[in-house]
Amino acid sequence: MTAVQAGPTRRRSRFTLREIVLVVVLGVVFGFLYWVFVQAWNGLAIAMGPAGDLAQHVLFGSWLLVGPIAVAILRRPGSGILAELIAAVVEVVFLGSPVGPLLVLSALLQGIGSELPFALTRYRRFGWGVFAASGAFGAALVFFWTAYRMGWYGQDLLELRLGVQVLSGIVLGGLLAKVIVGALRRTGVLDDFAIGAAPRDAQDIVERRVR
Amino acid sequence: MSAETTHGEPRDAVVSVSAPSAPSVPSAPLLEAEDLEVVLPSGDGVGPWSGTLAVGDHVLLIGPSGAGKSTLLRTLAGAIPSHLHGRVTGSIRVGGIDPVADGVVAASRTVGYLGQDPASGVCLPDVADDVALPLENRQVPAPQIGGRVHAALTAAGAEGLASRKASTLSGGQLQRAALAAVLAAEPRLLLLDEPTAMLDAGGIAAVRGSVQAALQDGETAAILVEHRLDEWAGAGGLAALPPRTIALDRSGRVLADGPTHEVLLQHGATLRAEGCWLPRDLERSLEGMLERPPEGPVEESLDESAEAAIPAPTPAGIPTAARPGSRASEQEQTTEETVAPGRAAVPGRPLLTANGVALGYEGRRLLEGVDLEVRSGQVLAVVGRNGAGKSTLLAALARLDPPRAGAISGAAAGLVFQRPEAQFIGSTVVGELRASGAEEAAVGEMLEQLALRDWAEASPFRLSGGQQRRLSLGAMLLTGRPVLLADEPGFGLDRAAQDTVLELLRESAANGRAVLMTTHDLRAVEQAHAVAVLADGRVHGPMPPAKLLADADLLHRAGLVASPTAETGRPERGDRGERGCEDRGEAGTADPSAAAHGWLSQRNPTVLLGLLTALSIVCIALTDPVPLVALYVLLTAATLAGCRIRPLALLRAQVPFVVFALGVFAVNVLSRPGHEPWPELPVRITQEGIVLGTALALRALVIGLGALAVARATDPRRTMVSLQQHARLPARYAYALLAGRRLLDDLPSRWATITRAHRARPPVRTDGTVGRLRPRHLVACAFALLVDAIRSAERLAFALESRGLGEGPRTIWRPVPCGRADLLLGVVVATVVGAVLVLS
Repeated sequence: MTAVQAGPTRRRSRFTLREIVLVVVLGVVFGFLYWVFVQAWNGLAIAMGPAGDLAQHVLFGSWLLVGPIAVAILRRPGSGILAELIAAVVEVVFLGSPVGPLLVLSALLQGIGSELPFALTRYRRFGWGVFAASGAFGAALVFFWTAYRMGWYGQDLLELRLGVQVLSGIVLGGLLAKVIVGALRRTGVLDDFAIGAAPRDAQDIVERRVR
Repeated sequence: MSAETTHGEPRDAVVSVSAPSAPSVPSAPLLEAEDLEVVLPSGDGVGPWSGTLAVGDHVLLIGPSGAGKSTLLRTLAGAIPSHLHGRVTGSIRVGGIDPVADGVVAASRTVGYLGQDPASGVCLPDVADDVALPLENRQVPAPQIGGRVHAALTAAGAEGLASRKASTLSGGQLQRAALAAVLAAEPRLLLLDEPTAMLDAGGIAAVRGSVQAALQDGETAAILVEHRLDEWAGAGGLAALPPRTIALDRSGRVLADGPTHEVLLQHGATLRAEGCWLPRDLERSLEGMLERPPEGPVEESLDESAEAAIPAPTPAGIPTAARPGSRASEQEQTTEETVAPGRAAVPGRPLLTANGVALGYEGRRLLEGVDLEVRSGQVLAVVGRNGAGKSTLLAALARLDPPRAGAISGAAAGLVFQRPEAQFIGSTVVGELRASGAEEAAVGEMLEQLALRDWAEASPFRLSGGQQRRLSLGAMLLTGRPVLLADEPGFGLDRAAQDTVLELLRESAANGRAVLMTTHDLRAVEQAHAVAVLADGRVHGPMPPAKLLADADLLHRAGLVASPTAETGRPERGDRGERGCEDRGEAGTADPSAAAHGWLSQRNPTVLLGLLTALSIVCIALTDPVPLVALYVLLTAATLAGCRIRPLALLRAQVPFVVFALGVFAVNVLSRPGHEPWPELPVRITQEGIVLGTALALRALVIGLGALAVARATDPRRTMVSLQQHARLPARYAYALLAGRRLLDDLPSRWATITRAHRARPPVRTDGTVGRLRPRHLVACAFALLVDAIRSAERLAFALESRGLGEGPRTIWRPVPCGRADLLLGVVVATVVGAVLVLS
């Protein structure tokens, strides 16, 4: 006899294919949109000359976006890390990132940083503060690895770089993610993911509407 | 409500009707449902349904929009509740499997599902891989897969597509390729969820032919959901429809389950009143049964000349479709008012004129010598095959694109795109209307007129297809532009929704606007005042609709009626970007794994990625410029030799890295403390800064060049297969990533469609031309793309699982070798890098 209640059970150990594909698609679309918007950005970066190296920190937060978005939609441990890793694979394998496979390590650190604040709330709170913290941690944790990779240690600018990057993480990689998730949620496309079931208890019995 | 009564009655019917089909198969039925009811979180639901399907049964599932037809099919395929939230009660067994408890992968052993969206019907970049996927997942031995892929493609009428990229196929071709992937798994139950909803007449005929051929074996049962029954039945008429029909009412209750002609005759009137499309023959006989004299209303709404032109007995092939005269009774009044012969003969003044216009894109000429007047008070229909230039003509009339020759002059025109979601800019329904710049009173009035008052604060993306279409038309009407251009306004809608949309168009014409719509649908043509046909690179007409309907040859050329010899493997041309399946012409490249880029591209991708990782780590440990220069030179030589790339092209590809490296160098020179060789300079420049800056800049160049070489030498499919084989990447991740690659191929054309659609929204310039998109418009475009992509993600995940992609063991059809040459490459690279490090 079949009698199954609404909503998939939470806290399974493995990601469903549906969740994996969603995360892949987020990675692909953001990768594509970065590419579209970077067309305009490149010209600016060239015009700025040496400042271009510093300007990367201003936009850094946008690379974090996909992590908090995935956590907020899937609400499961590991979803932010998975999202960042997959976005990195998309970039390395499909888009040919000049950073090469080491980008995956950066992505891992970004994912851990971004997901940490959500994990601390046990994936229950998704307010502005948690998103801001997510952006800040995501930007800060990876900073020290990038600083080593790019040889920033020993430059006078280290603190400036860190400050700008964390600020960018908070705004573009945290608060903006909440805005995007909110807008997506309103459209109804997320209804069948964990976020869509969130306000309603899974045990709630839906009243059948008869017209 | 009358749940009990509506429920009780059909169940008797179920028992009495499914009995006759059972005797031939005394064993257990293929499908057994008892009190199966599905309720979605929205409150919509379907069932309860109790019934059986025997092996080889073919069933038509019919009901108005929102009746839950798709929900029922998805439940049978195992998608609820594992993919879509919902509550399922009662019991269902399909071939011994409980799809509700076991999910899509388990159900895929028995069930095949073909949906309506061609773009997500094929989930992998290469057609052959997509068809092979279900076989690999069922552990068919690799040597057998090639033959079965070919057989499945042939069975689906898609044998010519084996070596094609999915992104180069038209909608009809994609659907046939998707059907091949479904058939490859040899399903015992085929679920067809409006497989032709997004195709034109030619595509429908081809897909229908393929499906019907596949069902000939008598072993495969099928459930078909289809709006366009005439098109599906083709020349065969009612007899070509599945012999059994299950009808649902608006609430999803089972209305009837029995022989098709009986169900349609008994419940046709109810179904029709609730908004279902019915076969035309049936609609006519229903009209006859209604209060009117049989031929009365038909004659009244016709042109004199057309009436004479209609042959009394209809010739085979076209006739069912070609005869006008089936309109909902509530529309008769408006019909008489606005289409009555007298009015149609005296149309309004021309508002928009095309003079000697030539159209085309990308060097292709589509239309020549277009002279067209769009007149006030008139609805002008434009018909033609996919690729005939309908969308291009509309874009030119809307002044989105300048014509290649000739001139377009007249009033400002608002273009409403086929997919309303591509054009939404507001975050709420009322915001969407306000974005037109209209006064608040007008917005409120429009909200009432569109019957969207209850949805005012909802997101436009939440609306049903029919509501979205109304909203996008309403928003454009509010801009006050005198000309309204609508691309396929009735596309994919059920009868009730299409009637409402056409009514809206006719009303705006009656209010003095000029309305032009493209359509593939004969019923919509009948509702227009005039029709122009795009065929053979020119415009025929405008003419009265009845004249076209009587011209069998022109109907064929307009793509409104499929030619009797429906093509199969021949490429169709897709409308430009509109369906995301533009045909790029020449036959697809051969095996994508073929070595197109030299020796390196034949090497194992996992090995290449591993070497690049190792090289990156070595580079990061280096702070001395000398070995980095050596590595850069050697890597350049290796790339030139191994990737078959020309030196100049290699240099050009590195320009962004060079710019970045220069920045890195400059920042380091200026910002590192240390020994200053030139203290007299106004800025501080240090020796440490120069040395380290050079090293860091070179580091970026070496890693960038390596990444460039590997990207050029690897192909997404080979990389993913190899990562699966050699790096133990789970198959679900590998194929999810490949499906993402397939989407990425489509994104540029989707982006182009969305940005074009959005250009039609802001106020037009005084000369009627449209402006450029501002950054905030681009943000709205990006959001629309994101929503569209997430919808695709859901369909792709479902399609992949219904091909059996799970966590179990699987075979790999075309494994990527990892052999002696790869070992050699590894050894050589390690030796050379080691030597460089030691020597410097």
